[in-house]
Amino acid sequence: MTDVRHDEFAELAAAYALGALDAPERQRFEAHLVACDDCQKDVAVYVSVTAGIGASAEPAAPPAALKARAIANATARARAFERLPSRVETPLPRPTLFPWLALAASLALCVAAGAYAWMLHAELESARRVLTETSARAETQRAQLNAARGDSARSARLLDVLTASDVVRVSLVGTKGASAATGQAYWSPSRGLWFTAGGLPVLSPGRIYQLWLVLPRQAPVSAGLLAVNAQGTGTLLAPSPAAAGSSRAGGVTVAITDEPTAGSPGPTTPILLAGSAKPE
Amino acid sequence: LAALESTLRDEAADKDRALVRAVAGGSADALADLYDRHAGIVFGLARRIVLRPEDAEEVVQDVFAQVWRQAPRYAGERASVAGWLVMLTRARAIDRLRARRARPDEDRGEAPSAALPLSSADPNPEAATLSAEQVRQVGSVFATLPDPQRVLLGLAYFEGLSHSEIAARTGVPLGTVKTRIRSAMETLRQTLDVTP
Repeated sequence: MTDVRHDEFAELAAAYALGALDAPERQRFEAHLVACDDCQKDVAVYVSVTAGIGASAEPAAPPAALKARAIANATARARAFERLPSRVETPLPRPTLFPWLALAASLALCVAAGAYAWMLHAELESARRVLTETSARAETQRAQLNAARGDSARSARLLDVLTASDVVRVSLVGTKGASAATGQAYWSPSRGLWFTAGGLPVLSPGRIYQLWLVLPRQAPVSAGLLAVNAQGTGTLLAPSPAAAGSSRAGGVTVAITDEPTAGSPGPTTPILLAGSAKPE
Repeated sequence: LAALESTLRDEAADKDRALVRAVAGGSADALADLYDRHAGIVFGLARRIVLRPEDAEEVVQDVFAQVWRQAPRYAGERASVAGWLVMLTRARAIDRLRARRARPDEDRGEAPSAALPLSSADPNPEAATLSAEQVRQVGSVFATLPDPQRVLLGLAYFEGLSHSEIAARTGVPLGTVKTRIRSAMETLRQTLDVTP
């Protein structure tokens, strides 16, 4: 590999796998990582190497009573929840989740989606309680914690998607309405969706980009909302939409449209950016 | 003798994988067996990271709960279950450490808020690709790294610190921190090149 820029990034792979990159460097590396197979392989190797460092720690016998507690605690949880996302991650402020909640409730979705809506509801209730009960100092601490936890969680989830055995990569190009725009999507039905786009027009207030997965013989499935910065760049790391199912074998088209900030149940404007992966 | 040890280790690794498959099938007994075989390294590593035994116990619970949930996804033919457990333990323990740093009040005995669920980085089972033997070898090479490299890499791994945080903590220039950690990781990676 003689690409100077790649060499510069390749030097960061080990530190990325370790979680030691500072935020600006990590963001630059991630932007490169999504499009670089060599770096993805390097990161995967270094991630597995880190297990050896942990194995150097001295084993220690836990208290005898812990075993019964740990097994009871683990097996008490319903495994059905595992496939559901523990948290919705979009670049949007939290209040915009409300329309989706209402929508989810009104559509009387399947049991899994119902459970997910319930979890979201519980999260929101809990967040509301905290907002009213805690002091400004506690709020600051919460923000610090979330930032720290969000960083490590985001990196791990991105890796999870990129290294998934069922991941498919789709390159998107802009249509007439956004001819300068380009994008990349990595979709793993089992792990989630990573999307990054640049060169998009900045939308008027009250509007937002919405990402769609179009599968054979199905209506477009919303994959999340995409906020872009002043340069028209945005990224989205989200769970794979349940309605998209678990197979990508029939091929998929990824597209974005301009929608109201609450999102739409289906596309309501022309496609601005799109790309497809062929059937297997 | 070496061949015999190697055979025994292979059998242990096979047994681990069979247990994970049984856990995936819903066997709590298999989870208890896995606990018996690995709780020592999980608790040891958790305590090395979070320091407080009560926090380490919470990490152990988090890890085995996650094994229960994620076992259906485990498909390692050769990868070691021990390696996966170590990765889960580190992720959960660093979560707890960062939560505590962000909440100094907790050191005064306040209960953690229920609004702060401690779940984040989920190393997926496929990320653990090393065999048990490779994990052991990388661990022993780590222990013999030159002090300046081992200490800095240890701060990143066991304390979850970034390059700049390590530089601030140790007074070592940032560029030197980056170079030493990269060299150390490269040395560990080369261990794998000579492992069949």
